[in-house]
Amino acid sequence: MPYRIKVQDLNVYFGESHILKDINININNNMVTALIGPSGCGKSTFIRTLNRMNDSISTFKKDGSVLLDGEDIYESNVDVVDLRKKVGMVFQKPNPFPKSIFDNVAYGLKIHGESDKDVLANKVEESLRAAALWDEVKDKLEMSALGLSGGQQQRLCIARTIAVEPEVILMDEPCSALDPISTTKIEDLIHKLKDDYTIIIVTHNMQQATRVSKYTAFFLNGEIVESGLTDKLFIEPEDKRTEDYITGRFG
Amino acid sequence: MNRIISPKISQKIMKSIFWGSGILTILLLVMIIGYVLINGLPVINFEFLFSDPIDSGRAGGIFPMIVSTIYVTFVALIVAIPLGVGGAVYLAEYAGESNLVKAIRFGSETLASIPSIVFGLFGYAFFVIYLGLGFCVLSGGLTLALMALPTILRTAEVSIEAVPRSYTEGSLALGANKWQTIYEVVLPAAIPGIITGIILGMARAIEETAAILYTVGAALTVPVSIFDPARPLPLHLYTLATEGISMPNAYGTAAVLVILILVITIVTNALVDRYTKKMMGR
Amino acid sequence: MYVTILENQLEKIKDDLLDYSNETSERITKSVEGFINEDVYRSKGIIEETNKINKKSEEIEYGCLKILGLQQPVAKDLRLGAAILRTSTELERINLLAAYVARYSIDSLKKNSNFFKPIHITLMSHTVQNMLKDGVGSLISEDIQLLKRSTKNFVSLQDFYNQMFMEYGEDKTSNSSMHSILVARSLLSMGHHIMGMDDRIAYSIIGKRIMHHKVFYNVLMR
Repeated sequence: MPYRIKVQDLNVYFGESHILKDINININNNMVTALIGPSGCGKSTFIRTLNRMNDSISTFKKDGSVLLDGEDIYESNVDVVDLRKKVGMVFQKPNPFPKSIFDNVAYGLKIHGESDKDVLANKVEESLRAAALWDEVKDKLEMSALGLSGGQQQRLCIARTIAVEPEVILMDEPCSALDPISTTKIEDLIHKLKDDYTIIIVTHNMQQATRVSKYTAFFLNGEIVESGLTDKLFIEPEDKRTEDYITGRFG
Repeated sequence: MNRIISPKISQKIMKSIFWGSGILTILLLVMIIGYVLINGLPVINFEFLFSDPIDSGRAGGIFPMIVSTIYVTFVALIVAIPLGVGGAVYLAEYAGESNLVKAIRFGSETLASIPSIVFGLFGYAFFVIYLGLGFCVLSGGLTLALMALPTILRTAEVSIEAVPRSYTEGSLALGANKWQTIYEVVLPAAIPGIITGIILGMARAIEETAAILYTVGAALTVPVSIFDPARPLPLHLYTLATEGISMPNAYGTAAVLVILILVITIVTNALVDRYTKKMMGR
Repeated sequence: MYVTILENQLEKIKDDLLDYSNETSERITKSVEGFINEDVYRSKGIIEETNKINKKSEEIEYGCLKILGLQQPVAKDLRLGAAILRTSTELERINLLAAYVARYSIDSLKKNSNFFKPIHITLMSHTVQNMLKDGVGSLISEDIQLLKRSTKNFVSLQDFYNQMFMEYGEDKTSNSSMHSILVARSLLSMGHHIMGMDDRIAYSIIGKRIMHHKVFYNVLMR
């Protein structure tokens, strides 16, 4: 399968508002794709469409198709719970549950039916290691997750997402609430994770896009103006609007 | 425009006023509790607490009254808590903003302000007479449940709505369904607030006299089944005082009541505090 | 209109580059005049000034590194920074070549004086200067037409050289011819350097590589 996710002619409406217009994009496997663009131009709406988080908004309507591994995720026989196991999401503001660190990471597994204590313990350790957080919390797994620093909380959220073994990880500005050092740690983590997962990251920080991603798509007013290899887009952009945005001439 | 008082001075004045209000409040509380305890404590001893009243309460103890209070409150909470919390979950999580929902909320808030005597009369007419339950713990308990319900419902609803949406989203994103999210994440986070609501509701139930008056009877014996009549502490206190049976015993009853409420409040607050600390890691 | 920090810095460094280019152009003029007018004094001056003039290249390079590293420009701005670096290097080389011309001037007068200097040298000098003005001008103003003019001129430059070589180069007995050839050779090299910077300037303006292969092959295959 060449593409993990294939979006064709996607249009998204919230009531009368036409938020996403004729979106066509292919997301490659085991790579990081960055979505850039000014605030409010549909990037968050777009990734939330990929794991059907928009379903809970009553005015949400869509046209076009979103294919994951060749199958349309909006077909009526698709189990949303299953979809969200495959396509995980990390949010802008770290949102660990008011539970212990252990319970946070084990949450996904528990709700999908896993109750074997050993399995849970192993998975929790594995996920925390993968998220480069294990050494910092291994002695205090029973402590409330809310006692961790912002950067640690975000890595915890990533560990929690990884624990259910997704194939795609969506990240909605994961570092915008963090300090520079935590940001670097998360970027290093993303770099490590891309070998095993397909990652889509929305970011306002263009240097972050250039640092972590292989592909970049530029969103403007609900459309994708240009998309392609990050190197090319940032050194030799084809569309003037892209150039104006990334050189800071507007937005 | 010239300032009459400089900001520094006005700041000091306001601070004193607020400080004073706080002190005054505590003072009043201490005075009331103190008055009751001073007059009531001398009457309290082991016999008082654990024996039956003699001669309509002129002598003897208040054991049946203590049992009645606990029993009736228990019945009230058994009914009010599930209804209140369940209703709150429905309103906060499942209902939309339809006119029906608005009507439910409005009704609940109004119900919270209706005078207790009205509840008492309703309880009498409906539970005691119409349903034929007679004067008993059940009638009293159900009436008190009606009184506690709006408080519990409203407080629980507010607590649930106060749970940050980010928790809900995080849970859904991991593949949980709505019920799992509510049960595993939202409710645990809302517990402190819900418990507070229950305490408030329970306080209303324990201290109720007027509503009890017409529904629970006037027994001097320990109620065993829920169909037995009973006499909770406030009612006993009222009777002793107004019918001039025994002022000292009335004070004693009052003291027991006050101590009971104090203990419940302190213990529950401590538990909620510990729970919150554990959840929030602070 | 709001001008960003980056734009400010880019403007400043473009100005510096322009100054450097103008000074270089003057040195070409003076070095050739020194040869034609047999002005030893002038030629010596050119050689002595070389290091001082080329200090500018270091300053421009440092300024570029600052912009590239600290402002992290992308796209056009990034390519512009790279073009400025490249241009500055080429100007450095051209300045050195001007010093060589001055050197040849002085040497030629040791053996001979008052010998015939072909007009081609002056023509080449003018052509080189035009190429330089147009090239750097196109970088400053992002004008691709100026750039085209600059590279087209290389053909003429090469032609002048070829002609001169045909007419005077074969005459091995004449000492003066040798020095004229050396001077012309230097001017031709300057042309090469300008072609090099033109390629990068073209990339900076339009974002595509259009190496001037055609021009080179044209010239070499004749």
